[in-house]
Amino acid sequence: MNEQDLAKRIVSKLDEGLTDLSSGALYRLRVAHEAALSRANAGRPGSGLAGGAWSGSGSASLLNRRVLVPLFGLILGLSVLLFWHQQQSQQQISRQADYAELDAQVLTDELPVTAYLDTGFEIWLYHHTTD
Amino acid sequence: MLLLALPAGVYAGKGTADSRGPEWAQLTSEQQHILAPLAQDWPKLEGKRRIKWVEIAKRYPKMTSQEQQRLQSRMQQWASMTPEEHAQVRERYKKLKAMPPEKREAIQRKWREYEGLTEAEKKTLRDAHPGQAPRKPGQTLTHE
Repeated sequence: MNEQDLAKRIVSKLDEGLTDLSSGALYRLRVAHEAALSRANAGRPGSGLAGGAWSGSGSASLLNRRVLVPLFGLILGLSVLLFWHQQQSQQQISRQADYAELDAQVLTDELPVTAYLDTGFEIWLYHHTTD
Repeated sequence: MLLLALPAGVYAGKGTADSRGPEWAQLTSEQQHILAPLAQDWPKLEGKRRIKWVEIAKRYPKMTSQEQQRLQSRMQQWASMTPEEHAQVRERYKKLKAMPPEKREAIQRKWREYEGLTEAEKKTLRDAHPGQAPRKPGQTLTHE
């Protein structure tokens, strides 16, 4: 008997055994077969939906920790800075509007601006009051 | 995109209307006419002062013609004064305004008398009592 004949007899014996397997054993074999295929596919890059999804989830997690968190902090910081700056600007405009009202009165008053700063006039008022 | 827009917004706010105020060319022709005495000094004015003058220009149409003339004749002098002098004048003006009308009228009359003096007489007054001038703002025009 050569090797070829021996192999045929072994296969024939195994095939005979298959018909005697219980339904439970067949089910376990099918589950193990599918699990082995899934693991094999997961090892290959870009092979199959399950593998891609698992890979994407890992990247997102990494992105969260290293990029998104500092980025969010930066945006938050800039927003606070912008808000603070706008508040300051509004206050300054409001303050200038108040000055504008007062200065408009000072500049249109009968008494000229020079009168308030003229030391000679101060003396004149102080020493030459006849009222 | 938001990240790029935020600092741009901060810079824009800091660099234009808020801190530097409007440029002369950005004023309306009416504002330029009202603020004409300040045209030469405008580039040197601080942003907050520019904003204030624009606010004053908004009030101009409601002023009497006499007030409008006073404003325009005093504008340049006011713009050339220091912030300390502005504060001093404002303070004294507020005290004057709080006085009874007859006292204010008396001070205005005294000013007209003082204006009638010669420059030499005014100088004599300033030099004759060096130290006599009241130091604190408000004490000056409230002696009446």
